[in-house]
Amino acid sequence: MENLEFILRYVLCFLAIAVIFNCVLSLIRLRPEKKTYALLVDVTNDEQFPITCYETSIGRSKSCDIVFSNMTVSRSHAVIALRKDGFYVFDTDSKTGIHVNGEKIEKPKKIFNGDVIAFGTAVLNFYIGSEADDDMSHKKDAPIARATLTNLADDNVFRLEGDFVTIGRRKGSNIEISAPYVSREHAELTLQKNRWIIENFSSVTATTLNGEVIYSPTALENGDIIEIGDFAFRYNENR
Amino acid sequence: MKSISRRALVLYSIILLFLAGCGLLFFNLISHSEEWAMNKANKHLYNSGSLATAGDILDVNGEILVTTKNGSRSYNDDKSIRIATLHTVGDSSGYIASGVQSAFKNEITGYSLKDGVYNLQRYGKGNDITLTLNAEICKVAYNALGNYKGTVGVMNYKTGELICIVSTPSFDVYNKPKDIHTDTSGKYEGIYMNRFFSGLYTPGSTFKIVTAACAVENIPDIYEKEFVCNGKIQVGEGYVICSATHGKINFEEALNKSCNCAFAKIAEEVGNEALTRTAERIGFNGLGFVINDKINCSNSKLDLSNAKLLDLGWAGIGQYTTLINPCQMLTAISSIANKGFAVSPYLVSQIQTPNGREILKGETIELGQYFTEMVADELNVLLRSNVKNRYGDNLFPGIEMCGKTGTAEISDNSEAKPNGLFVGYSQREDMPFAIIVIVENTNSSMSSAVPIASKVMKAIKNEYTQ
Amino acid sequence: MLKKTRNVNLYIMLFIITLFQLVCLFTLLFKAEDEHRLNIFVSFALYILVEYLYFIGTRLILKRNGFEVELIAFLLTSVGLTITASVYPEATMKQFIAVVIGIMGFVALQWFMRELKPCIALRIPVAVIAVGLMAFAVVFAEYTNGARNWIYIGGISVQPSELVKVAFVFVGAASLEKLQSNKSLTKFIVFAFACVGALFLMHDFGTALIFFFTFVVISFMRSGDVRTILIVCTVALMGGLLILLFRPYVANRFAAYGHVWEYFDTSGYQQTRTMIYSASGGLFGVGIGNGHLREVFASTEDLVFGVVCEEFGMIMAGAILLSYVALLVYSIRHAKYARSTFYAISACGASALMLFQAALNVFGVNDLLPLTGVTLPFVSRGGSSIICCWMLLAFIKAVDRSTYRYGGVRQ
Repeated sequence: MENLEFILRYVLCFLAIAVIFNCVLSLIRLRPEKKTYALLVDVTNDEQFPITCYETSIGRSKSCDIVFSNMTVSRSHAVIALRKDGFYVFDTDSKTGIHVNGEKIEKPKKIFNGDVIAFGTAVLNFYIGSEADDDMSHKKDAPIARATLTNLADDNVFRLEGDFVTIGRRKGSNIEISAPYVSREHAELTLQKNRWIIENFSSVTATTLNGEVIYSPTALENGDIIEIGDFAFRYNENR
Repeated sequence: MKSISRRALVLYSIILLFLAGCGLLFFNLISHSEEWAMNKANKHLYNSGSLATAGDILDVNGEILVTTKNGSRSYNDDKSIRIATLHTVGDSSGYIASGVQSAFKNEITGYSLKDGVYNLQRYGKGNDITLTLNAEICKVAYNALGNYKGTVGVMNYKTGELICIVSTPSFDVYNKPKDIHTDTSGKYEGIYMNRFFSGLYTPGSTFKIVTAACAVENIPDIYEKEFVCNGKIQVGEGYVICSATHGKINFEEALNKSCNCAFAKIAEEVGNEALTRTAERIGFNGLGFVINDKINCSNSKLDLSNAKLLDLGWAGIGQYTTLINPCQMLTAISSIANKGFAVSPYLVSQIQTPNGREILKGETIELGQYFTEMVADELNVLLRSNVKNRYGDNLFPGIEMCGKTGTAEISDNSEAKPNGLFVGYSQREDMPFAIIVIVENTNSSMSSAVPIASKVMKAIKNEYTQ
Repeated sequence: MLKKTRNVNLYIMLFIITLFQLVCLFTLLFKAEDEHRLNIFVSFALYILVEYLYFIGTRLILKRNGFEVELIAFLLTSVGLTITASVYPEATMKQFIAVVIGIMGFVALQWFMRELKPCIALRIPVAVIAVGLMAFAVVFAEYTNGARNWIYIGGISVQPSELVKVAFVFVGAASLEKLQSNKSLTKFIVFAFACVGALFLMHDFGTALIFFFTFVVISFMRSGDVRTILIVCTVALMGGLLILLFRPYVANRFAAYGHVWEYFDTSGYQQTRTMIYSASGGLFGVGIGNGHLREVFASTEDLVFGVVCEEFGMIMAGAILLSYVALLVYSIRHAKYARSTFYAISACGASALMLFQAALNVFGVNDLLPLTGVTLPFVSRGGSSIICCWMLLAFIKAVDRSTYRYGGVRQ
């Protein structure tokens, strides 16, 4: 027993060190993954301001995350925060206020993809990136059993199969639309993490989703209406 | 979030402070670990202030001087051995600081930074320490000392092994005198001190060996010189008194008869510089020995810097402010026996862990040459003639003894009895031992120190030769 | 652009931790008296079960990744449980129950903090309850070991100040809903003053110091307002000096500080014994149950660091100290990417609190700081203390956004 205890002392120490050393090293070295949740784009010069944190302060002060030297922007003007159900913009006692899509906000306002936000005279477009969805969906989506696009003009049903579906004028596209204003490769639907994502490739004609122009890859939901020129499709899915 | 994360970075300063504190903490713990672990409040080692669990101490023949039995220290069964080896072994309470139990605390408890005091848990004892000491010889020396205060030390002059160390007054650890701390008569004076290591004595005539060595080195015609002794001699502005009126004598007779007049004259002739040079070469005014790197000795002193001529005369015969440490003096005498080469005295020959691993081995360490071989040979002849012509070989039968006595006046008060000293060694190849005997407050060295030396050397002869 | 993070392998770590606990349990059972063996065995077995339930549950059902924080907490708790079982075998079950309550609190608080809104909404009620609890403690608590901070309810003793620690961090951080809002510290200063003042009245200066330190950290994180904080610190310092001036017995308590060896058998008794036995343990310790520091008063609470040094060794003790550092580093590094300022500040506040408390405990018993008699997080015996530590851990866990994934609601 004496010899066993003698050895167990070392074993005990070794085991504890193995756990603590590994965990401490991991805690000290791990850095959270940097994600770009959304993008603010200055309409005047196309300058991009990525939003990488859950809360982003905007103002003239150097301590803000996004700094404008514009004199109409207060020192600490606003905060854009990612909350449970989406992005909100908060006015933090600015002098010139915040306008979302031209309307001055009185209380924190939820903002959507494509919204135009003005801080004083600084006007920016707001785009939500796909990585925001990653963090916002804790329930993994169930696999899609059946997804379809229905041409609203003729009720023609096209079933989405495989990993991607192309839409365009080019012969051989999965969904071929032979109209001159439709680009050869106009848009693409891809299946990512059990969601169909639509992305626009055309620089000629806009692709809209529920009436809003798509600038970045956007996930589709049941009942969404996709429009390309005069053509309109309804997206349906069964899980 | 930039502002928050920047402020959070300031918290790194707290972490730095904390880490600095941890650094200091562990530095303290590790640098003081031995000192703290050896604290008397540590119940791993001590039981109400006295050492309870530790390794054994054995003498050169494997005789157990102290061991651990049933959670307390158990000493040798022979009361005389217990008392004789007390100062070398040390007591459980640590009063005797130069005792092996105190000086080798870490070793005997088996403490190590890696395992702490765990060996005590595991084996119920620490490391065993084997000494060079011979308990039987110590017992003889202790009995020979009788009621005198004093010390006896014996050393192998070829190897440096200390085979006998006795210091009196001593006591039995099992029966410690109740009045030891309250007594005012002085009978327990210096009872916790090992006189052999820590004592400082006026050398008296034994210092004439040093003066003689200096004379041999510095006065070419010393053997042709003739000295006149009228019972006293004028040196400088005063007189040096001699023990008798020796008349006309030569150098060898002067040493045999220990003539103060002759040696005061010799000291005057060689001068204080040469005398100091010789003395310092053989260890005077040094740092003192550290036996086995643990036990500190006092150091011998010879300070002639402010000495007048008369003082030099007195210093030449071992008075004035001269002081010797027994261990150092024994080493110096040993070097004469060993053709001028001095070896460092040592006490611990081996330290062994409970599982049989040797962690320390005592070895002979040469200290260098104290005397040239020629000077050593001449002193050898002179010291041999002392015993042959003066003290008598019948005291040291078959031992081929060399030596010198000394009677040291320790006070101007004529009531106070002087100290008796004897230093010497055997010339026999098969018993290369040197001895020092110091007896406090005695009538003469011939009646006290010499008989003690005789008894001890005879016992050694019985023990070590066929 | 993205740096791939790699967490420790949960299953390997869980295996090692289990081995560690089994070795501890084996040694404990071997040394324990017959009447306590069952008690110890059941407590440890259930503890290991709870541990597995937690890890397997969060891994397989919540599909979480990254368990370093909990692994450390579980390991430290098992060290504490081992020491408790070894010194006070009859109290093992009680301590185990407190640990389970703590873990449940940890899980519940994590769940509660998944959304920001209820946290912000609850800050005022929590503050009121906390102050009420402190006031109650001031009036009804009984003196134990010079400090009056124990309340006895139906045979169970509770230390309200430990529970208020959690509330303190919560309230301090929740007053800030988002960046740049509510910069004024006034309300928090009033709340902090009430808590610290109550602790002074209870003569629990160590905990008062912890609260004050946490207050400074949180208010700095919130406002970055160095000037206000300096003013508050100066006022606090002057207040402290006044107390020392008019209540000299307070100063007497710390008289041994700096020269404990001179007060070897009086007020420096605990510190000197801690140092003696820490040194006796060496790097690997003398083994569980073989120590002597356990015989000294409060060995499993205030002096537990010394017991770890003596019985587990200095290496393990050093590793334990490092783990507190790692928790704070983790909080600092995740602060930027936390889901809101609330999570960032509460995590930094909670981990700084634990580090400071560990510093007061460890440096106190080793005479680098005055001995204030606070517990060592996760390791010291004491129900309220262990519950508080586990709940504080929830704040640290919540700073990592990967702990939570939001519901599938799209803009």
